[in-house]
Amino acid sequence: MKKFYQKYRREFSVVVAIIITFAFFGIMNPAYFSVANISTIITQSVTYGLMGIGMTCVIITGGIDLSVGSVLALVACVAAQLAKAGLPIPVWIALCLVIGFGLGIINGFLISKLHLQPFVATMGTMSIYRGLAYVITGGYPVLSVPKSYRNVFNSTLAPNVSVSVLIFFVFAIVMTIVMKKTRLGSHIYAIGGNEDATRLSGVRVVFTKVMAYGIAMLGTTLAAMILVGRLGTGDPSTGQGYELDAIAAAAIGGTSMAGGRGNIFGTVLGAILFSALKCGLITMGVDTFYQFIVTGIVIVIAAYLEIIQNYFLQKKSSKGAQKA
Amino acid sequence: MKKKLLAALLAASMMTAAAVPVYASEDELPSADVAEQGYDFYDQAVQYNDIREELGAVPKLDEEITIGFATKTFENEFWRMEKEGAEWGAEMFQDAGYNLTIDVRGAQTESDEEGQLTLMMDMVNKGYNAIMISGISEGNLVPGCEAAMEKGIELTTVMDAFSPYAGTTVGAWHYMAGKQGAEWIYNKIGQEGQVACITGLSQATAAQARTQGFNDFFAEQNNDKIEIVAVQNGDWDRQKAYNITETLLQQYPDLKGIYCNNDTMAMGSLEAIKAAGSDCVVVGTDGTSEAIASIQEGELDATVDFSPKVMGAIGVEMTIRKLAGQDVPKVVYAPQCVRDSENVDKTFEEIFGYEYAPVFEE
Repeated sequence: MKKFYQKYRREFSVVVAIIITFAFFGIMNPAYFSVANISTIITQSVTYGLMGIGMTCVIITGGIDLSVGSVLALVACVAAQLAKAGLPIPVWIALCLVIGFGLGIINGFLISKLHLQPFVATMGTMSIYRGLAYVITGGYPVLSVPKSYRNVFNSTLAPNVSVSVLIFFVFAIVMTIVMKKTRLGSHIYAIGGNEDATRLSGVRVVFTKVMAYGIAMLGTTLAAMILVGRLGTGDPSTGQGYELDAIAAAAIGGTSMAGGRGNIFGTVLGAILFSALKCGLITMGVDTFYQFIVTGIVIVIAAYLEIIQNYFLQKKSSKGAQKA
Repeated sequence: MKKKLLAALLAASMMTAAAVPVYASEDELPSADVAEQGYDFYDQAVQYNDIREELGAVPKLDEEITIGFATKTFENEFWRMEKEGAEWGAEMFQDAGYNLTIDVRGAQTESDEEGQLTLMMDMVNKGYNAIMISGISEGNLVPGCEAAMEKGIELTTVMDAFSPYAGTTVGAWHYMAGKQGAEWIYNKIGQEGQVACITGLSQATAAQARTQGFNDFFAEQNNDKIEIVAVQNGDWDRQKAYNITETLLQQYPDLKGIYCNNDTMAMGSLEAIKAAGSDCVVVGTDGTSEAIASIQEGELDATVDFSPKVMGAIGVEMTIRKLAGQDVPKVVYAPQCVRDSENVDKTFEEIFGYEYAPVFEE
């Protein structure tokens, strides 16, 4: 039990934050606890969650990816256009995933092979990808995506369970296995911990980083396809500023901005907390100006919970505690 | 990590430096009184539809003139339509024998404040006779406006952002748009039920005026059967509007009507309403081609159309009137109307009863 707690203590603090959030909004407004509302919260966390999972993977390597918002728009536009062109659905899905993966690979290539700073490289591609989205659409949203394509990502399996949530959870589980159980995953963690040492021990650092950025973009690609399913539109101007929400989900979930530490499950919880907060503030009718403040405060508190935990842990045993 | 922090700090300090407007002797500016009363509430503002005939013919202008138009990004359809309108308007003057050149240039992105200033400064340095401006923020073109005033260049603001430096502003009446949207919903839902408003970026004055119009309309009705259950920020974003609508319908299943500060959000909102199987009506703002097409297909209920093309042309007309020495009102609201399934296929002429065409002096 204690071992379990030690392993998942960061997630534990996010769970506590989620429980506090739910309890607070639930007391203010009992309808908040309804199954339908909880389902809405989880459904709305899918976009940030999927993008956040990818972001987590990248941040663990010690990098950052600012281009995800632009990729969301670009892939959504491409997906909408391909759907209207009438591609067979399996080909359509595969092609979009390949395109998204490729956009991530380009980021990874710039960073690992050309040694650009991740911040600068992805700031560049953020602009390039956004520009491409405008070029291929001429600046107009791609409208009326056929129903059959939309349904792939936008149908419900059972009342209150949508396909998008299933995709979100499956992607989270697959990514957890990749990060924890495969060699690629452990190399990604190792690079974030100490890149030079990892290189000297014979790991193919360039390959690993390129793959990390590529895989990470799959999350955003899935988010883009769900977006097309939901809205029936590929909008080249969408997703501006979403990269910060994705980073916030990862950070709340305990991913260290310095790299080497963090996990997928935490990010999933972070995204759900974020979404629970947004829905709660809307149903309570809190003024928009105050919503910004409250959201910020919750991010800071959620991060601070970990510091408090570490403090108590260090007090308990001076050698057992890890460096935060 | 330290380097990253330093870079971020530097970037932040540069941004704050660029965002602080430096107003010079504010109350002497040409439109200082408009600034004081607020663009949407200026007591001497006129609607183009009302003054169209009083204005009379456009005076003759013999010398060669060049008008610049420093507008916002062409990423956005609205500004592409403004550009089209300005060029269309200029063409009418050229056809009538005016020796006129127009140079329309847009900022690169919605937030490219410095870039927009640079292209305006270029127009000032080239000594254009007049410049029409649509500043990204209220402050970013101030240095350009000051330089233009020094050179005696005539300034006209088109649409927004309102600037006290420009002698004339031709634009939408945002406050009235909010009222028009609210009124349409009010009559459509039988004057009772719950309504909501999804707003744009909270600090944008246009969004604030539209939202205030929406709130004021219902306050004026003084009708207990109407309840505004939410006014929420959707950041002009399709997906955010979708999420807000989804959440609101959860909370208020009987929601009857939603007014959105722009069409992009209205389209997002519409999808959420369709997904929830609700019969809530949704009204957007702007009159983009997407919204119009959606109304034609019977999906979106209505939008407040600002007719940006005609607005751009009126901007050119007012600018030329000023260059010819005519007195032009400080605030001219361009024609705007609610488009719904009943009038969506009608032309500008069928809706307003006239086709836009400036009258020239013989």
